[in-house]
Amino acid sequence: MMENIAIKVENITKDFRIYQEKTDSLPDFFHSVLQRRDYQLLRVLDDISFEVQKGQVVGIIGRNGAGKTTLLRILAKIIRPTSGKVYTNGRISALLRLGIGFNPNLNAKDNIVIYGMILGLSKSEITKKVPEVLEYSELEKFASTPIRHFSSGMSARLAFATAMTVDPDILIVDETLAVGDVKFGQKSFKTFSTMKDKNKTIIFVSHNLSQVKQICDSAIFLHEGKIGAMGDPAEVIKQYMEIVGEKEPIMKATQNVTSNPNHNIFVEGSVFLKNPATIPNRLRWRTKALFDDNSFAFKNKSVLDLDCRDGRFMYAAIMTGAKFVQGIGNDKGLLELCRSNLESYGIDASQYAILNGNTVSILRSLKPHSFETILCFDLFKSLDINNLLKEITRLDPSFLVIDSDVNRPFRSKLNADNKGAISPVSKDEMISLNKKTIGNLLNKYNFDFKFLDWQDMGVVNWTGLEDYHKGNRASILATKKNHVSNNL
Amino acid sequence: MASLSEGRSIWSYRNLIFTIAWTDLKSRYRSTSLGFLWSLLEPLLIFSVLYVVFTHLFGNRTENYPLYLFLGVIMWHMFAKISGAGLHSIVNKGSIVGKIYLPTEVFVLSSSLASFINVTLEIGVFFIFMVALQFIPPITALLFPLVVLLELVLAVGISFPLSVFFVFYRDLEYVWSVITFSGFYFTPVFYDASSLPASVQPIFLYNPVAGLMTLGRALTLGTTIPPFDQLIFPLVVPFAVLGIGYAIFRHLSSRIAEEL
Repeated sequence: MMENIAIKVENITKDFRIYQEKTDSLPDFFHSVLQRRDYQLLRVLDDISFEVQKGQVVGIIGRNGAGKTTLLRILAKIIRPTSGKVYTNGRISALLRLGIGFNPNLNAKDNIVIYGMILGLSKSEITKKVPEVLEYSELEKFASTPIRHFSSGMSARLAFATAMTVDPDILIVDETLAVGDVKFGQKSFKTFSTMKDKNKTIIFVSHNLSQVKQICDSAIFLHEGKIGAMGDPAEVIKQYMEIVGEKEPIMKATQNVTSNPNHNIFVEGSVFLKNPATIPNRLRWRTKALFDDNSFAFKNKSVLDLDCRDGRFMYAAIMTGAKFVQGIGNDKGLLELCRSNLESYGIDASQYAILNGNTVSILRSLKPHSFETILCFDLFKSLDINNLLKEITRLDPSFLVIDSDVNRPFRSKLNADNKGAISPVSKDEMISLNKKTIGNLLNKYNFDFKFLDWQDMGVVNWTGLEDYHKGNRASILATKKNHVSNNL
Repeated sequence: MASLSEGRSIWSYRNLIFTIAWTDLKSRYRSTSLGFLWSLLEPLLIFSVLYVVFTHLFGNRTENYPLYLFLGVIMWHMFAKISGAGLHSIVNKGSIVGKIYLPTEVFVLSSSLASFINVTLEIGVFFIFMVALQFIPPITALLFPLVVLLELVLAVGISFPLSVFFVFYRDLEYVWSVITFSGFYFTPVFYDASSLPASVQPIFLYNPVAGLMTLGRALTLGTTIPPFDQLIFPLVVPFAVLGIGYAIFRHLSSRIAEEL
């Protein structure tokens, strides 16, 4: 029966238990020990049904929290649906998130063997295929290197290569293609099409709509746990855009928690990562915190970067959908680098401009409302904050994205007392801004603001983020008061 | 078409279980300079300390006390090690459990197997020890492996519920370490239970590890074999624990991936 069907999903519903936050106080603790923990049910998938034919490539799209990953996990049998049934036909290989749970202390070879066996190969089968996997992932040189020394791109490549060696009938992929450099991306693309020729089935989640359009036979748009649209990719993407389009909620930052800065702009091989001083983990998380999670502040907006350096955040803004970005800097060498970096990505010259000069004077020359979003990295410690904020206020942006040192003394013409009150002083003095002071400043200049919670974001690896971790640095999303609703 | 509930039997995963156990052992000792030797040195050192304390300080006069004590340490170690590793077995593999379909039993069994491999080495050392002390064991010593298997059944049986409870209640780690610590004293590891007053005997009667230990010593060292009615408990309890433990495990295991 139904020989040509690979996957059949019948009325799947999935509820998650969301437990109340654990409390630290002793009475609450005893209460929680004695009583069952309170929880609410969150319906992540609501009565989903579909069929996938053998040999089809199906893309699943939808906003964060729409239930995409949950659906994949159910298809891969990792979790069970609350109700409903899943039928699968053939060997399944699933690539969910990065790394796949390699043992960091074992070398690449041993990990390939274990992973292959987990996926269902016998020990001798997978042992024979180890060289093939290493070759495909281009990691032959690292066969005996413990995985803990691998970059995230390298382990993703290894995971992908191993999963492919198993020769699955059904491949389930969660945004893995976004990892790895361009060349490897093309390679995995190619593998997808050979799989397709062999009548294998591929299901994958992607935020890259053009990718979905390119390689999928059909697409499923998940919206709030239900199927929003299903069928021809171009048609489904159109409906997705209509529904999701500009309606990104303003406070997306807090809902958008994943433990990995997944579909990151700065993929391996990016020129911005080549700078020896760059810590990839830091750059990736900052991009996630400031750009990905606040994409509403960039999409179709004109953006001003007050200190553009090598252009990395101008690039991030453009990739997040900004229609125009202007960078300011005062180091000729850096500005040149910034220009060449952006050029190397083939970004159209009409999409950006780079200005050389003093930040405050340049701001003075700009007309109000010429920029909707202003990026302010680190300027709080080196500039005359009062004038800077005055000029920013005059420009009247809708969003102000700040990332600054806090609790570190610097020279300034302002005086901030412990309570956070600000007063001008006659000559430069060492002051130190704390969160409260910054808050007061923003308040004074009529901004609503929100400190982005790094802890909440799900960062597991704090390498390069120590200052955020210790509270010596803070990221802030500020919005013009009375501008957008009272959400903030 | 295969439905979700159908799966391969655990037996078909035996190679994987063995490979995971073996690589875990390899990686466990990789960063130490003495490596695998530690699995032998650790019980030997514990034995030496106990030996010095109880012969020289307390003047124990049990016959063949070094062998008596060493066997006790090994058998206690076996239970404590397997159950302790079992407790962490699923949480430690959280990164795999949440990403790939695999019966969770695999992780509990491979962690038990890894600890068990360690223990068999210790038992080997015990027999070398025996030869060195020129002790000739009675013929019943051939039955000793059965006692070891019984204890393995018991330890795996307790590991199943521990591993899954620990996923939901992380406090268990501390509770279990207190339980194993006190268990060491309520089990005749370094003393002879029969020399204690009758009022405390029930402790040993209902402690399956104590029963197995007494039996193991009787078989290998030729001490008195306990009367049959005292043997029923240690012979039956391991299977009961495994049955109940596994049932609890099955009942809760479908929720593990969501919790991790």
